[in-house]
Amino acid sequence: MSQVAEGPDLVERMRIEVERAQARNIKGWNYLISPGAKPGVTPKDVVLTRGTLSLYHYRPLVSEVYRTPILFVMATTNRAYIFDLAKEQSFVEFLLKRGFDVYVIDWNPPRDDERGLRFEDYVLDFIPTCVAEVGARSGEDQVSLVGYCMGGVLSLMYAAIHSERPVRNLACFTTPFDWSKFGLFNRWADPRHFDVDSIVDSFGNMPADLISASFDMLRPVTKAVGQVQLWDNMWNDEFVKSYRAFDRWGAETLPLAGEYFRQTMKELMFANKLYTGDLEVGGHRVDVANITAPFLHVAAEHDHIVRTEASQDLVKRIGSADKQEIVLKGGHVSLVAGPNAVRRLWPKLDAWLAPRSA
Amino acid sequence: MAGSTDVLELWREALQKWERQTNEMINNISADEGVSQVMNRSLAVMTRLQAQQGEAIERLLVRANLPSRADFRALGERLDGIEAQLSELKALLQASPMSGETPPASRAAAPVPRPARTRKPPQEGGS
Repeated sequence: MSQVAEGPDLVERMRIEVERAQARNIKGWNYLISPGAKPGVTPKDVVLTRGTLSLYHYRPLVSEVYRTPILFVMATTNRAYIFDLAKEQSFVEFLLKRGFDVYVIDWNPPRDDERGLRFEDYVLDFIPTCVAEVGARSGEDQVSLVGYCMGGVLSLMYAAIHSERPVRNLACFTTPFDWSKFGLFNRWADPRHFDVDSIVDSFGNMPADLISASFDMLRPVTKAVGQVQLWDNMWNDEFVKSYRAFDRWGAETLPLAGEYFRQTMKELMFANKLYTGDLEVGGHRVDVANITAPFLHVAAEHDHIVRTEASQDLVKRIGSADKQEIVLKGGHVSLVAGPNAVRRLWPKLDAWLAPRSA
Repeated sequence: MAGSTDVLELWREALQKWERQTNEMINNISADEGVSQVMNRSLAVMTRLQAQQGEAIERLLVRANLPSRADFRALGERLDGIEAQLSELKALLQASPMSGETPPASRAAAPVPRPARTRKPPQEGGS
């Protein structure tokens, strides 16, 4: 570019930057003194609450829906409003408008008396109870189960044990299967040094702070850089709105039931039993080869929590004839929410589920 | 466009590069077995301290005749039970004049509109 052409550009850039600097000051104050937008705005009914378990039914937005309802199973570490962040940023709202009947399993922080919850409670009680409730309300005896991260692991366990019935379709997002491929987590949680018994016995439930710190340690300076980027983009209302929604969600990490965490570490992380096929839940062996429902796994190319290596063998081992894995651009969270998800995952799930839901 | 004179754009790119490189560097350090061992030892010490602190505070509260966390927890659980019973009663009241059927005990929601479950997927190439 020549100096002649660069002149007006530079002036224009300076003008824009001055305007942005002014806007940063004004909007920066607004940011500090105002609360963020309330997440979870799509109208819903709370169908069931029982301790850590909540089941929501989102009110249909169209007059004709697909026969088979969707039941989301949220990851146990975070709140399910990531699927319903804000108006126009809601996965749930998108699916409702595309004609799906949507139910979501959300997790409340487990109480101290729930420290004894195990895989058995989630897989043989909570999910079956919700599937039955969805059946009673919809009049359908099958659901499309959609699990995110650890919700995907629980959905796999449930579908492998209940292979004969209610799961018509199973979709999992960023779901770890080969737990020896977690990378840094495997190093940090080396059973020779990581004393899970001592942690669970001391704390009861695994504190949210420790879980959130371990996620942050995967990208130690990203939070700080995020603050700088927020300031840089303070003039941009859309950026700020989105930042606040994600920041709030990220800060609301949930504690984990103590025994559930102990089981996760010992049976999945240390012994990799889901992958080896040796996992038993309530006397049932969990073999993903038993899953015969149509299966979709969606991995995120830049997922720093569940690396693609940790999930890539899943689709090979699933018993279904109709199975598919897609790797989409994006990270662990941006796969399901935000502008990346709107363009990539949401339409993919719609296109995969629609012909399998009528 | 990120021209050579666009200092702010250059700064943004440099920030991203610094973030990536620093994350990588710290990750490499923390992947070392010795570092992991130290991290876990610190966690163990913190765990023990936290447990001891919790017990000490519990004893102090008993001595001061103040309710402890366990007492509040017990109250919370009772409130949860009462809320669940209220939800069941609400569901019964809402359901009875409509159908005369008894809804499942767990049903706590308002009547849900029931759209027809007859939707067909769009044809290939359609919307």
